[in-house]
Amino acid sequence: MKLLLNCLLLDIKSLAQRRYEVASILICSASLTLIILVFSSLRVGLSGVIETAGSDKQLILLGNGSESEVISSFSLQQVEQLKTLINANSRNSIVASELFTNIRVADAAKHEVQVVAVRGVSDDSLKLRNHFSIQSGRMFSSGRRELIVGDKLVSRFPWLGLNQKITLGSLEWTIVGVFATTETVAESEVWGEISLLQDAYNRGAIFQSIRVGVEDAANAQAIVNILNQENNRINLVAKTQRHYYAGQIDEMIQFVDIIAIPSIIILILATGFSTLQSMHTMIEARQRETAVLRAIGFSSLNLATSIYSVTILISIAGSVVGILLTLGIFLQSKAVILNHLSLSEVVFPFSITWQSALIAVLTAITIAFVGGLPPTFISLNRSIVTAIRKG
Amino acid sequence: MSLLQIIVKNMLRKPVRLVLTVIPMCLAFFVFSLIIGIDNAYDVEFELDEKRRIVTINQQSIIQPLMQPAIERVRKMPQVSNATFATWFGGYFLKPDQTFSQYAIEEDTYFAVYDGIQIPNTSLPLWLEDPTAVLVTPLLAERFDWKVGDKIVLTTSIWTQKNFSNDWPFTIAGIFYAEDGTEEQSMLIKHTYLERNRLFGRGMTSFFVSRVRSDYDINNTINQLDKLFENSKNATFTSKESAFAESFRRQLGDLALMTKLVLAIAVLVVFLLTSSSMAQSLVERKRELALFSALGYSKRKISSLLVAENILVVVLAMLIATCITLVSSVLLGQILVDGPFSDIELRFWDIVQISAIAISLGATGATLPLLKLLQEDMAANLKSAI
Repeated sequence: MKLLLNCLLLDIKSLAQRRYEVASILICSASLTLIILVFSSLRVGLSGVIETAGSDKQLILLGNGSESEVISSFSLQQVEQLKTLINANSRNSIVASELFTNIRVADAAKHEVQVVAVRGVSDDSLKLRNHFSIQSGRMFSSGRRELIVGDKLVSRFPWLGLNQKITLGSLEWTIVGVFATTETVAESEVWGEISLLQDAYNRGAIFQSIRVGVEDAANAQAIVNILNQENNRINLVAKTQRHYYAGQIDEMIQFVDIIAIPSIIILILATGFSTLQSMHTMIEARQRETAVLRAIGFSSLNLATSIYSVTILISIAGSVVGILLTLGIFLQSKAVILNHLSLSEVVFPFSITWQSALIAVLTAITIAFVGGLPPTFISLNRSIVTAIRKG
Repeated sequence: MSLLQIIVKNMLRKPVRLVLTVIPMCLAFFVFSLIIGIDNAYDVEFELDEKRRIVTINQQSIIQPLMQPAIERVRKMPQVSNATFATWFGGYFLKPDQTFSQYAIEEDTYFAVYDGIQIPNTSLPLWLEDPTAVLVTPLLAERFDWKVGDKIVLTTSIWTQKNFSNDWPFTIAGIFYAEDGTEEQSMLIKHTYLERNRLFGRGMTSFFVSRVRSDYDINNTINQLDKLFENSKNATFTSKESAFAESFRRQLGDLALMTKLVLAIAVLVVFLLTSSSMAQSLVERKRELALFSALGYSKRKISSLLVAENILVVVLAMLIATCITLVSSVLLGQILVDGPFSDIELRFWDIVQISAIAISLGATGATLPLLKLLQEDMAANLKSAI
């Protein structure tokens, strides 16, 4: 044991001699940790949006055939018909018809252009949102061209904050408040009074979607079934809110995966072989030294274990660097991904969890573990005499 | 022995290390070229910009309409040779998940703007006669097994007919060949048919497409076109056709940043590998290099030999990786029908670019270890044992 510690000490002291190999193992494992952590944070962040985005007690109704609020539409008549139908089947339900569109907004210098979702809401819509609250500023007042924006949107694009003016339709609107709600996707939206927005867009009494709040999930599912059966008479698709958002977010996650998974697999292989190369070079460079040590009584197992542990220690250090880098760059930042169904951006936090950090570190260590194995074995089997002579 | 022979011999001296260096480099270049190839699959700029077309939408959002008469002002611009408008139909065939693009087009002007579109003579009789006629791309006709003269019904939630129905009957007039780089599955509908039968939105359209004459600058034309409508109720937003198409296909936002991160890491891995293997070979060859020096090779010559060797290794890895990418793009194209991996495309200039990166990585990777060597007195190493 003492011998092993001695070897280890010797190895660590001599690391400066092999700075290129050390840097190579360190940086490879740091970048691998970084990329795994960043992608998994994106995914976890997106999934977090699903968890809280929709409730099973709320429904969303869309015009037939459309999967998205952008192209769905209902006339006032249809809305009234549906209200009657829903109230007949469920007491105490709240039905809110809403306007939905999107708008291109730019900061004052026009450097940054984003497409954000705009929703026209009524009092009923607000009743449906769980824990809706104004974070700063105030609620828009009825009859005035005022808007409120979701807090996620403001945190990513500060230039969309209070008192900013946006042109909707042909007139300017002012942002007067920032809101938060547990329906996380909505926190990437801009809200205004529905009747004013309908006027602004010359839409008349046309609504994009209908939200229904019912007392419990079972009742909600029953209404979904009833409405979808009525499919032929009233043109619509009914979904629970959770189902609706889950579908959208699944698609976004697929987009992340399609880039992330192949890239990560190839990078794992690349860094694995790169560790192998560094280890090989390290061991080869010290062939003679190792042989001398073996000749004076150090066991080859001890020597190999020590150089192997050093490699793993370096890669652990690399992972820690990778985690710190990721935390430094992404901890406070919000991610943005285009939601293809609403043609607008969804903002969500990067969720760097300890689970994903652990996975990233374990992967990096495994790579070092596997990559270091072949050169270690080779070094064990070498004869002392030839190694000393070879130098 | 010629210099090239020396370089190659030196490179092959430690075959195990060479293989161990080349494999991870190959993988890094593979991921690099793969990402560029996927990026190309989304990027249509290459094909579309020669056509000098610009697309105008409502400034506020792509889903807000433009007024049809406004196109007359665009047509009067001296910079514009042809202009047409089109409206999204947004329908599906039988089942909501059977979607594809349908454009209601102004048939008199559309084909002058999209002059690469070819309509075979067999499609013309019905197309010219029947108001409900539609043209489809061959791939779409194949997908739903449509034949000339077939009556089909598309359902759309955007447009309601005057009879309050969302089901619109059409007649397949035949196929048309779309331009390269545009959608492979699309349908052209006559705008007059939509216009006459829709309940709402008459006089409106989704976007204008104009062609800029070759003696005018495209970006200036874009600015002037948008200025025309600056104070109108429907202000416009014009962009090059390529940028417009890209805004749909490309995954914008942070995913683009992520792919850049992957690219950066791939480059970093190659850099580390080349500099570490260079550093090691310098240590091993100290004595030998001293001999070279003693024989009259200048320091510059010795270091260029080493740099050339390093570049050769990186370029070798790059070439293998590019071949793997090219082969896998062909294979994946045959296996997969859809998605970015089915359409990986490496262009000549990308390969040039990757080669340039490889060469510069090989050179810079060798620099750091070499700097130290150049400062040393080489002849002194003749004495050293290692």
